[in-house]
Amino acid sequence: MNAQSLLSLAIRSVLAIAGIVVLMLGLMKLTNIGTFLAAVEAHELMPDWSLTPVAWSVPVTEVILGVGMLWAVTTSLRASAIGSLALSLFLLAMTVYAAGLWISPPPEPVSCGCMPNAEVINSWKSVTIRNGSLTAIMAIVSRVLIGVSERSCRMTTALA
Amino acid sequence: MQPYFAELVSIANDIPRCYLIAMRAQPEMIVDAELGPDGVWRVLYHAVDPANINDRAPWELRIDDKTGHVLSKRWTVSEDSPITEYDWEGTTVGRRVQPEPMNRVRTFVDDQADLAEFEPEKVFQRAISYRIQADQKLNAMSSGYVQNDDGEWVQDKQTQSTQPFNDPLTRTYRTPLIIAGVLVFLIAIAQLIRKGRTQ
Repeated sequence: MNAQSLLSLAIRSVLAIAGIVVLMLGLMKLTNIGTFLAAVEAHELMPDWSLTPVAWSVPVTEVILGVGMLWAVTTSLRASAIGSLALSLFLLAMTVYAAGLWISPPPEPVSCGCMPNAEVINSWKSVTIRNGSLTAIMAIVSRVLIGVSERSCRMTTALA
Repeated sequence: MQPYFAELVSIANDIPRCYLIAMRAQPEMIVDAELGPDGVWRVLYHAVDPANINDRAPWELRIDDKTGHVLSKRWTVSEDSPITEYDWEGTTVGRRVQPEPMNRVRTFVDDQADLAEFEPEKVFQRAISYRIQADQKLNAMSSGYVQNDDGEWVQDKQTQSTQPFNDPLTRTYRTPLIIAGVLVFLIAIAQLIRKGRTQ
């Protein structure tokens, strides 16, 4: 097993764990949708008409992303790269949402709603930084995977 | 010292007498206070750190001038924002009429209580003499029964089953874990079939 294979195996293992975490977060929200809806409502960031669609679309997207990520890492490097890119786009949306709460915080301290038992957030700045960092990491992982997949493609073509 | 509006307000939400204590401790949280002809103060205040206020609408408290009782709380962001009401019957510290949905315990402070009854020795002696009843009570609670306002033990609607690993916290994680496990298993099977076909 060469260094490139080891690197891709390590990255795909990390992405598999990320997929399971995202899938769990989505399922936890879906099975406690009332709690998540209450958290989104308490953020006072979205217009009233969009609360229910947002409260349902976030966990559904997480479940799709989680399942997609697990499918991708067990399929190919290229699929893993697409999966991590999709996850980084979702995290980017979450970063923008957190930044919105940093700029315009809820009137009273509330949780982020990430999990049913999530603690009350004191600093939305740290949530924004956390989400931003995860977005950057996922984008880098995606870029590395695209590079590795292209290199292995070239090697396969050369061997053929 | 950093302002601590939010912490004070979260205490006062359940013990409304604390609003006046909070506002005395942190007068800068008050935006405006005006006594109406009906003998009720309309107090505008902020519940968040001043650095985060920006252009956010303040909250409004209605406080009875004579008794000092906080009657209600409302966010002034819109005319139809929900009103939190407080009840002062039988207590001098007040209580919230509709507590938080997650709060299964109604906050009630008995300010007529005999403090001597709360000395550690008395409290623990009482606990020891009530041990059998306490065990019965714990058994009933762990079997999904709750005591209603009349002192009667009834099946708790929130606890559907008395099976082990069925408490609310475990339930929060159990269902998603089972679904996630099934999905991971299905993905593994599907990938094995797919790879078997391509070979």
